[in-house]
Amino acid sequence: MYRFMGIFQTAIAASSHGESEKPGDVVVHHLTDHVIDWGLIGHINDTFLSSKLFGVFDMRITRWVVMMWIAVILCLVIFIPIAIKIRRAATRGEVSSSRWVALWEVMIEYIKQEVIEPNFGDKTAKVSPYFLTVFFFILFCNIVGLIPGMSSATGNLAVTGALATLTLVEMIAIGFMKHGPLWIITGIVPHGLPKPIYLVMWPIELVSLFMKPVVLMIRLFANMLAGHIMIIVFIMLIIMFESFFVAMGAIPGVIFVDMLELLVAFVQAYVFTMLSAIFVASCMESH
Amino acid sequence: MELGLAYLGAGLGAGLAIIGGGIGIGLLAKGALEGMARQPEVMGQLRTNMILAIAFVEGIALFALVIAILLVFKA
Amino acid sequence: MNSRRDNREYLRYSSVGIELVLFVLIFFGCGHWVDRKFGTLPVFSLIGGLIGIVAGFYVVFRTISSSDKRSGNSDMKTPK
Repeated sequence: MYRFMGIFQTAIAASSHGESEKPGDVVVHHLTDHVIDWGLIGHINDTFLSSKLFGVFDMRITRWVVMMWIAVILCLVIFIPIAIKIRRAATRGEVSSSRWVALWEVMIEYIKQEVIEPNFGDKTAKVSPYFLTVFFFILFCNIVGLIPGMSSATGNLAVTGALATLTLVEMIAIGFMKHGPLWIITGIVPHGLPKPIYLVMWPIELVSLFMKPVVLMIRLFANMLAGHIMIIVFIMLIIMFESFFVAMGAIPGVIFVDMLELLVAFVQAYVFTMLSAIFVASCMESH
Repeated sequence: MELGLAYLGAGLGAGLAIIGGGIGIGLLAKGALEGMARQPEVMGQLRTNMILAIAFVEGIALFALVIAILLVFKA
Repeated sequence: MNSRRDNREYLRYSSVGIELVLFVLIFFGCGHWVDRKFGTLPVFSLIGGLIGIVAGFYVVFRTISSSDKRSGNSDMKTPK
């Protein structure tokens, strides 16, 4: 929180000294990635990771990487004790009676019943670890982004692109495992068509197969980015106009948008998981 | 003066196009919901045709958005 | 339970609008790349765009009509 306000104070001080740090620069600063260069992580960045991996990939630890680690640590810290408690209660033959376990069990059961079971049926137990992990990872990434001073790790194309690539790899892999290795050539076009139409239809079907994870990626990225831009721009209005009446109007607006962002965080994680499950299940059955 | 006009044009163009898309989708949804309320047994067919028409209207609005984005990145 | 299935149907076909636009863009992009390699500037871009429009409409139509079959109704083009 103090760093958040400190950045704004730097902007105001800089503009009063004659250098023009425009409001657009502050907005862009909050929405882009920055390599961490202080503390222990800065030291690791300067020494171990300063050369690019394979000459291409820049592996330095940036702010978004730290946000994703925080989400992962939250997942581990919350869910491993819950699993231990459930297993310990199950060996006694009863359901765990703690309220904390019941809180998370509500969400897990909701995802399993609404998202995984209508699409997969009897294979629910085998595929549900992946979908539950994706759901809670995206949920915690989005929620961590709402805390003032931290940024949302799903608000860029790279992270959402990686998640969508996982979905794409799963779609192709499940097609391989169910229908054989030539599934891409013969399986995605509907059967029973003459040969020339087959040749025209196949690129269209292939592009459509690749387009579904791309739409997933764009949807999650656009929703998260738009919410954060709105919050930052509302606060920047107060800084730019430097008047009290604008603040009286902007603060309720920011609170409302923040609550909306909380809802959007849940909804977007749910929609991503649901659509992933639908796509993977549609690749599992024969066309 | 001339450097900001491309951004202004992109913003205005995208906004006006999305207004048209929003009104179009709203009218479609109004007709479909009225039909579903009058005759609930054809709800499935109404939903199918409504989604088809919504896809086309939204496609047109997104075309204008793509042109606006091209304008922002060219200038 | 039935309304939940309806919500899921709405969700599944929520992306057809942007899929239409992405199809047009991808085929237009392919046409543009071919144009830039072979120097014939507007021809392949426009052909790519047209193919993109046709392919996009076709995919949207097939997605929607598969929803129609799935919800158990008769074919959309049944003459009455």
